[in-house]
Amino acid sequence: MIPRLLGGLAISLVAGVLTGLFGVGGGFLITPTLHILLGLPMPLAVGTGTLNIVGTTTSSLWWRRTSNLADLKMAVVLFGGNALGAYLGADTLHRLRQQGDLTLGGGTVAAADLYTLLVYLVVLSAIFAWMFAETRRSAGQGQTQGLFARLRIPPYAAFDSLGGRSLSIPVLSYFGLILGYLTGLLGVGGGVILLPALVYLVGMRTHAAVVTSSVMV
Amino acid sequence: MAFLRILAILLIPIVWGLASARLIEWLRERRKARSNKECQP
Repeated sequence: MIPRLLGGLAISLVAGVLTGLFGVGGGFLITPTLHILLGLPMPLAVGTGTLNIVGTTTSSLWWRRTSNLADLKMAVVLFGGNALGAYLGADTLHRLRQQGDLTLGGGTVAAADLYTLLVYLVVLSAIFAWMFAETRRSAGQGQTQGLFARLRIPPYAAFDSLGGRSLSIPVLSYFGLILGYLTGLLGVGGGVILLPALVYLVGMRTHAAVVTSSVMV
Repeated sequence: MAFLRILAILLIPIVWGLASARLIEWLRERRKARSNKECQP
């Protein structure tokens, strides 16, 4: 009981430091470590991780409240798809739990645990590869315009954090939907995906992206 | 039923995004107009 409690506190501390530093909720770290190190079933780890994110990001936002860098318009526009996506992701997780156990190599493993860990692996590996490639590509170029600026699907909205540049509302809305789906399915607050996406896809400056990401999470 | 569900999933994010963006723009315009009015002698 006590090692589990101390382990939980240590994981939460590391997640808190990451939240303050990068504007991510720490869910990408909390959920798998709760499952692997503390032995919590994956659906329980997802729920616990999501709850923990509320505390870490609220604290992070409180310390940044005077920075005035958050793009609230961006956060509100993304929220609709995000909320719906989170519901759909949680629904998928619920369906996976109903699948019961799978037999793998003579042993049994919960289908929900296996599938969510596989999605975790794919998503985090893809983000790592993408950020690595983007960093190399944009080295020395300064501020990037972002991929979303090239997708011209009306209607549009202008954003202050982009220097008044306009972006497609459908593109942003469906981006929020995908982000929310991963939040509901994996228990990540979305920051680990949202932060690089705001910088490289939306074209936001890093400091503004960190604070806006915290607001969204 | 499944068709309606898919339609809702496709439409809700866009309707929300459009409505919220226009609402925020309208609120900002209103605030700007009000502050301009107060500045006039």
